[in-house]
Amino acid sequence: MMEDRDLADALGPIIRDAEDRRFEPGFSHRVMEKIRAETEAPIIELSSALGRQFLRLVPIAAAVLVALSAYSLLGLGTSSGQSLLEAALGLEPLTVETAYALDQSFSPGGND
Amino acid sequence: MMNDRIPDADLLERARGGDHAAFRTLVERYENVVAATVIGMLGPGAEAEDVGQETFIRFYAALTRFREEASLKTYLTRIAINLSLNALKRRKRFLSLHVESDLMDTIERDPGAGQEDRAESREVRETVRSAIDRLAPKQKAVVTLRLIDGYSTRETAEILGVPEGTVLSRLSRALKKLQPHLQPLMEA
Repeated sequence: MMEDRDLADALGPIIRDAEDRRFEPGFSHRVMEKIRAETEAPIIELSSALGRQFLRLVPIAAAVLVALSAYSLLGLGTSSGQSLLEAALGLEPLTVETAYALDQSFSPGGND
Repeated sequence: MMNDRIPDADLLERARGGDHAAFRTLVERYENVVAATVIGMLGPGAEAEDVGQETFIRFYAALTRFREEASLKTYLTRIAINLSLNALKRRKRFLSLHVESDLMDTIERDPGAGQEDRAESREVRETVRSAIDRLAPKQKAVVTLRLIDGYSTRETAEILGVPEGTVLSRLSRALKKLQPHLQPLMEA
């Protein structure tokens, strides 16, 4: 029976020389292409994830907007000379008195 | 192409700063080291190419963590051998799930078609590949590192994270398993 060292010496070259252990030409190019793809991927993923989140929020935001507009329209009405948009946005009717009241609230001691 | 005489440490520093050309030079410098390991473990073919690429991608991801205490060659070999062992596990799982046992040997011994060698050298290659593929993955790793890559027992132990005695006993068992299959080539 051969000793391990002799066996390794005998089999080593046979195993070592049996096959060509090299990659196909262009290996480094293929590696760099993959690295570029993988390093750029997170940026693309982030922007598409943000886009998906935005699309998910759009119907909710639209529903809230409609509900608030309806509430404002029902609460204030358009009888006081307001436009539909002003009423929908819940703005107070603008009159000479309210303008003066606003002016006084900004003047020194206006709120006293 | 970047100068081959630029030290690894300089290329590493530049690669860490995002210099792709520097990293590419490192890939070119060490691709044969990685190829010897992964093809030694898996045989030639697409699987070895994938594992080779993955080795460098993992290395790229770990660039900032790599401290030059270990040599780059040893570090890359360690990644390559671990990924090859994982690939062998996946291969075994796939074969046991999808392939009849009598076909397993044929597939495991696929030498990687497409190379027009002389019949004799092809026969030698297939005999050696077939013999290596009969080894357990851990024995295969020791044979690859010691006999193909030429690492010492101590280096092999370091790469595999096992004691030197374990390397020696695995190698001994592997050699005894290989001997009957490679005997005709030893006598030739």
